[in-house]
Amino acid sequence: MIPPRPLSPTPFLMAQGTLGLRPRPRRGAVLLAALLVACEARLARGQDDFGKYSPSSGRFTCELPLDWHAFEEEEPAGFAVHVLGPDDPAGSYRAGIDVHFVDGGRGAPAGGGSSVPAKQAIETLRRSDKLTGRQSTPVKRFAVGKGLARTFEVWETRFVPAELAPSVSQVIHHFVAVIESGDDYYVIRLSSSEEVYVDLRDVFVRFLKSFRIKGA
Amino acid sequence: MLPLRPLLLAALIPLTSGPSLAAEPAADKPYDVNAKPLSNREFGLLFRSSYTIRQDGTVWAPGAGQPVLEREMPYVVEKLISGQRLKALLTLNLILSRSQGEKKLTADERESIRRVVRADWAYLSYETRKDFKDYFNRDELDAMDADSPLPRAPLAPRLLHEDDDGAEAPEPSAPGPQAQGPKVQASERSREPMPEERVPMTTPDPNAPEPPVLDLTVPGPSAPGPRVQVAAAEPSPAPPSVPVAPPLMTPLGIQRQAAPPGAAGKATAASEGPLSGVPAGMTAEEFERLARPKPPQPPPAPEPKAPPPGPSAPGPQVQVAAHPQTEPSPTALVAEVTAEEFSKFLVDAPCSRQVRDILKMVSDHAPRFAKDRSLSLVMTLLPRIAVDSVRSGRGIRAWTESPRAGQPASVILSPGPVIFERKKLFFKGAEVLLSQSPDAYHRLGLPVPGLKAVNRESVPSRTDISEWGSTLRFDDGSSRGSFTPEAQAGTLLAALLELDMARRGQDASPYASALFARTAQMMLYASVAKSLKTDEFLDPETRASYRQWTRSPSEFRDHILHTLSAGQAGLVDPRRAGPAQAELFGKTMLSSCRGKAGQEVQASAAADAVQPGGRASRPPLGWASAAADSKRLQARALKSAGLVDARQLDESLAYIEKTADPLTAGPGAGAPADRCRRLEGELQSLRRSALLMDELVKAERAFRP
Repeated sequence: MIPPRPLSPTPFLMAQGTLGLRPRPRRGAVLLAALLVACEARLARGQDDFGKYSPSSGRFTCELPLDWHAFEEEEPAGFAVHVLGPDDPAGSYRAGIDVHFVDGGRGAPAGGGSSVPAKQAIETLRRSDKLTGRQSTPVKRFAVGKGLARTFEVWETRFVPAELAPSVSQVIHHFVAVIESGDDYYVIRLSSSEEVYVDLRDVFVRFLKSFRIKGA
Repeated sequence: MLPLRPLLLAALIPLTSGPSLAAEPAADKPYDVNAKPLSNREFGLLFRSSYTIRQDGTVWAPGAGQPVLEREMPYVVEKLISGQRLKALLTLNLILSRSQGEKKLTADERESIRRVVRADWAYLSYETRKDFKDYFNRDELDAMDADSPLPRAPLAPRLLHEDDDGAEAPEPSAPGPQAQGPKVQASERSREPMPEERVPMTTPDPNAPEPPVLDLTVPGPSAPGPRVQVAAAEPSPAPPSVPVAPPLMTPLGIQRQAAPPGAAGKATAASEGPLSGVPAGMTAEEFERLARPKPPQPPPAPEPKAPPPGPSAPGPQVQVAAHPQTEPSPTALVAEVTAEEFSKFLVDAPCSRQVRDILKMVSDHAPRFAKDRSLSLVMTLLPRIAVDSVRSGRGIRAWTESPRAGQPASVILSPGPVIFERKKLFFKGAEVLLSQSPDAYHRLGLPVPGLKAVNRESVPSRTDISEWGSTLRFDDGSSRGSFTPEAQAGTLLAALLELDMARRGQDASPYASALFARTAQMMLYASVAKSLKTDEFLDPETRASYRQWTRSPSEFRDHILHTLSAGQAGLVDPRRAGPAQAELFGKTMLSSCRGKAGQEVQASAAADAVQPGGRASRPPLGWASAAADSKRLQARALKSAGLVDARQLDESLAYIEKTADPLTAGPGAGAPADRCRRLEGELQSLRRSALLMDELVKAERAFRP
């Protein structure tokens, strides 16, 4: 039995245009330590560490960390761009951003059937599953250019690596954003182990803020 | 010392089949393998003894002036078996004679004996098997007996005496005339329709002209089933104009047809691909001619195809045009295997009944594109498939052993994982799945963990049914689960597909290979779940993957990528995970190899140049360093799980550092000429991987209407 994911002590509060930690009363030493860690993380990834990226199809542009590695592939519902980032400390799950373009006239990554609307896709992505302890936060809105993204977070527990020993049950975290563009839509997901997902929040925010759909 | 009884018996048997018993001249008709197919083992023995099979189905002894007659064939096979048995016994006798005694064997001597007995287990009698069974554990014996069962003696009163008590084989019909004990042999002879007189084998004449060598080549895609073509004696230089598929050799029912002109010449030029499995009983050269797949040939008139919108952008600064798709669909090159053909093959397949049941499920439930690939591989390459926890290596569910000299590839299925949960003071700790195979730990320089569930001899405190199937619970909190045959069928399908892709040189992209295999595995599960109306037959993690693939295929793909590219798996280099990056990397490496061959520095610099952003942020990841990093992470994971202490971890890290060899693998290994040739092969393989992905997308679209 895969143990259910422990409740996150600090769930994110996603507000319009911002992503931040819910303020909680803490002791001074803890706050100071957190501040130092945050400053260190921000200093470690400066503004110049990002570069513009656009897939060969030119459907969108965005900003990505320069030391992350992107590639495209075709998939049944459309096409995907995978951006691979840093490994987690245990080396069992590599963080990364996956952008799935869903052709409204062809199919959807969620549901498996023909053309699933974005709202239905969101519900599928937010599904709960007792088997993996999967759960999600409520949907929030996030401004992306002239459009709007529906964002939420998902946790699930999986054995990683699945086929090779030692395989350890680990909580995987996903930042998810769904951006509609007419009948089509994009599913953007930053996946990482729960251990490091807080450090990647800024990357996801900057990625979303810089995400522009061509022609939109 | 080896008892003299089996030695004398083994020496006696070939003598009895000698010329002295021949009385009648060879007036019978020649043996025809088309009319009377041989078993796999007989086929291998003939090959190993340099017998040749000509186009008309006749079998020729080396240097013989006439083909083997039909009534001679049982004796020929029996002679070969006896010779093989005698060779094994003499080898064992030699090892034991040189030792200080059987009770004082060194590790090398013991391993030599194990190797000889394991290799010739099929030819050893019941008595000899009993003499050497102490060299193996129970699982190994079960696996060897399942692979080479003794024939079941008929229940005749004259055979039911004290020596037959343990000679019962698990299979009612043994494949081919295998080695057997004296009494069982006699009974088998009494049942077989043997000729009354024996004809002597022709003595090889060193001055005789060399007979034509068996050359089985490849049928075209229009061939309805497994076809083996025998090349004519005079090869024609003109190549065939149709795409050729890898051969399907079914030793049980060889069907032959006229070879296309120049097929023999193409067969030798077509051997490429990193994996070379050699079935038992064949030399590497023979298997090269028989079963090596040919590279896909360009179609006569390739249709112009619009480039796909997606996978061609490597990164922000690097733009690579999509490679031209001039090759036919990879699966179109695979000959179709019908259910009847495979059922016929399974009757005499060299595997246990358990594996046969699993293979039958693969045949019944695998999707079309994966079924032909996997089943043709099983019938052609004859990989050893077994369920064995000791040999399952690092694999939780399966482990593939690469082919070695004279041995085919092996797919070892795990019967179930070891489950361990590290207890914490107040909280529930993470569950860890472990392998029972000692190799998984020895390769890290670590001892096997002291968990009772890892030790096969431990007695469980209780047994219950959990989500991991029938589960054995032990006192120390560890447990051992079991996989259902349906789940193992999917695992086996994925393993066979990966083996087939490696054989065909389509595995340059590990992500594409894994995605292809796992998707086919999920399609098989979907078919089984549809028939069983539940997915409860899957273990929790596989069920989670299956549900993810069913409900959200994009998440399924992402999860595979994120886990394969992580350090522990170490299979996908994130810098060249995409086809375009991998191709650019290969081209850069190739130009560097051709320009300044032998300079590793150039190759390393080329690897860094591929990174998006155009700068080298870290040292290049080599194959060997990635493998060593993976091992270090595995050792640390075991330490985190509380299975290894700090001292053992330090020793393990030192061992990994000591055994890591940066020049043993990867594109930078080997002589410059070999390196360039390997890189060229990888570039071709990458193009095939891209086609593989296209085929997978089409199959998934068809599967999800």
